Amino acid sequence: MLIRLAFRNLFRNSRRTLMSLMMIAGGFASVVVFQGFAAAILEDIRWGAVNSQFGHIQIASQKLWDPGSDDVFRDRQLEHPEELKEKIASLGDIKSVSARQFFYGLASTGEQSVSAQIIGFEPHLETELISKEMIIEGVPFTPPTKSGQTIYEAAVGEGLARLLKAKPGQTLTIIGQTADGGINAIDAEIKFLFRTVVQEIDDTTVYVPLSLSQKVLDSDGAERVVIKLKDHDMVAEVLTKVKAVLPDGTQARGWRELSRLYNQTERYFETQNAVVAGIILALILLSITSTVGMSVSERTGEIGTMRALGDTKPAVLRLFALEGLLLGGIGGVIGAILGYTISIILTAVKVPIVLPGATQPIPVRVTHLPSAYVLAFLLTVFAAFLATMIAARRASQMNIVDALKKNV
Amino acid sequence: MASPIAGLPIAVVTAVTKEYRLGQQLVSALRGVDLTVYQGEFLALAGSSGSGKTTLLNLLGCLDTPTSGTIEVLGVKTMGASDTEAAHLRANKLGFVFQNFNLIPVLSAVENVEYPLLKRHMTARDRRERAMQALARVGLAERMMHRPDELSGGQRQRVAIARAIVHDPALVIADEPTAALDKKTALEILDLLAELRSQMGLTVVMASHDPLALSKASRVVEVSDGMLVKGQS
Ligand SMILES: Nc1ncnc2c1ncn2[C@@H]1O[C@H](COP(=O)(O)OP(=O)(O)OP(=O)(O)O)[C@@H](O)[C@H]1O
Ligand SMILES: [Mg+2]
Repeated sequence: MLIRLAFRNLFRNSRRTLMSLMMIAGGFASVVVFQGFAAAILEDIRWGAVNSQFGHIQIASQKLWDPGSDDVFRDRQLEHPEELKEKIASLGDIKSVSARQFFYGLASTGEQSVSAQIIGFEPHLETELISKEMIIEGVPFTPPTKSGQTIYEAAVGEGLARLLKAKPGQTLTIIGQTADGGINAIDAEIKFLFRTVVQEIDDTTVYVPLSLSQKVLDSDGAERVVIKLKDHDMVAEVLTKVKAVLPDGTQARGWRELSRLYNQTERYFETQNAVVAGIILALILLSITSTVGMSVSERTGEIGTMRALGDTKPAVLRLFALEGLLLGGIGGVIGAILGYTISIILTAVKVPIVLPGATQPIPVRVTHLPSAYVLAFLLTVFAAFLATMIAARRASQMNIVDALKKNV
Repeated sequence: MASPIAGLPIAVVTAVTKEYRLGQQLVSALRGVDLTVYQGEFLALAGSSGSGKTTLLNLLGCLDTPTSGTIEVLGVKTMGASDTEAAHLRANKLGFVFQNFNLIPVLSAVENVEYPLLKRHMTARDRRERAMQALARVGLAERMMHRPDELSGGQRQRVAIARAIVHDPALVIADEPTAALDKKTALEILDLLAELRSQMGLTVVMASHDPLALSKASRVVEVSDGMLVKGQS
């Protein structure tokens, strides 16, 4: 009956209660939508980090991760990448394991020369690094032959190609420093121009088959071994297994450690989410305090009656607390429905946004994040409880005789 | 001293004063009151407006404590009682009837009557049954589902009386229970109080300046300027 009483009291002034409920529901929905939006962006960044940059796990020489000033090129290289790849491939749960080479060099079309970062990779193993959709002009690399002959081909990022005035079919001369310090220049045919999701890559990068990069550097080594997993959630588990079989002087790192953008964005959203939650907590707190506060003032006489009939101070407090919790709870439920609906609508409308450093806009998505709903609900109920306690304390502390006089 | 009414003392007021602070001023509402309330009596406090009737009733009802003197209600000295003890005493042993009925507007008649029983360990069904019995006693059984604003003044006061007796209190305190009612209805309410008193063996203390009300009482004590008129305690 106490709950029934609290419920009826809540809707005595239905306009005020509805306003309050809207406030709470709006706050709840904001938390859910903001967090869902942030989560979706992080998912996109994660996807990009794993597929177009780092893979899930990378293995490299300890000295590549933590360079020292006396290191020479060879110190930063993996000497027997093929052996390592085989060892890793046998671990299980692995989709692909491949090697990459990397160096700064000069790319030249004869007419123009531009410094570029040259990335050698294994296109037939790392199919997502440069997928078919990223090719804006030209055709893919030729698949490798059994005998492992060098493939003299190259792919140029969109922005870099503009500087070089490069077109598929032309010859690109790649000039670099060999492992032993000499200068080497190799000609390759430009097979295609590409556009990834990251502007910086498109402006600076030439992709070549691993064998070609090894030729330029005059080395069998690789800079890193890149592992892609079948299941994204297995990273930690596989990382442990990988670490157990690593040769001395090498170290494995997960994509999260490697992606600065992901970590920065995540931290940014953590701060933003906390600020949003704080603001909303304050709004809900104010809204409920004023609702319950007004209710307490209006019902002063009634509080006197309740006390005269033998209700203790805690009993009075309890009734108002119940009203506040009901207000918070109902507001929370409406907020959850509202937040869910807004998330669906926003995702369906596909508002385009450009992420920092990205080449193309992506449609806004809002992920349904159960943890955000739980947080928002706790926030709402906590605010409701706190606000009610503040307002209801006054009710319970009232002098009975004075309160009774308010009955007219 | 021979008591006019056969019965045990239920409440004893001894040398009680009550002062209110009004800004800089001290208002003496009661100035040395001695009074004994006996079991089973229908005691009326008469006196002009501002004489101190409500103040005395509030002290008897453990809603307030005196500035000096002692009050013992049903064996409990109210001066030393904690807030919670006083609340328990009110909940278990006292019933209140107010001038303006003081029903809880969102509760139906029967729910209002049930309200004092919420503090008891009772099943909802027992509670409802007790409340219905009390409503039947005041002749309002068929209005049980009505909200207070759907009832007339007299009916509301009946509900309030049912609420005051539902838990079999030892003492019912009624402050001007008929002041908000017309003459005919007032008479009905007074008759009801008198009837309940004799049927249930209730003790009733009522404040009123209505001569009609005073005529229904078994004893009348007059309050004047914060004191009882001599020879009446
Ligand atoms: N809270 C208060 N603060 C200051 N003075 C008060 C307070 N309550 C009562 N008084 C004063 O105490 C005196 C007695 O008041 P009380 O209400 O007991 O009179 P009453 O006999 O019940 O009058 P009425 O017939 O009008 O109800 C009055 O002078 C009143 O002004
Ligand atoms: Mg009075």
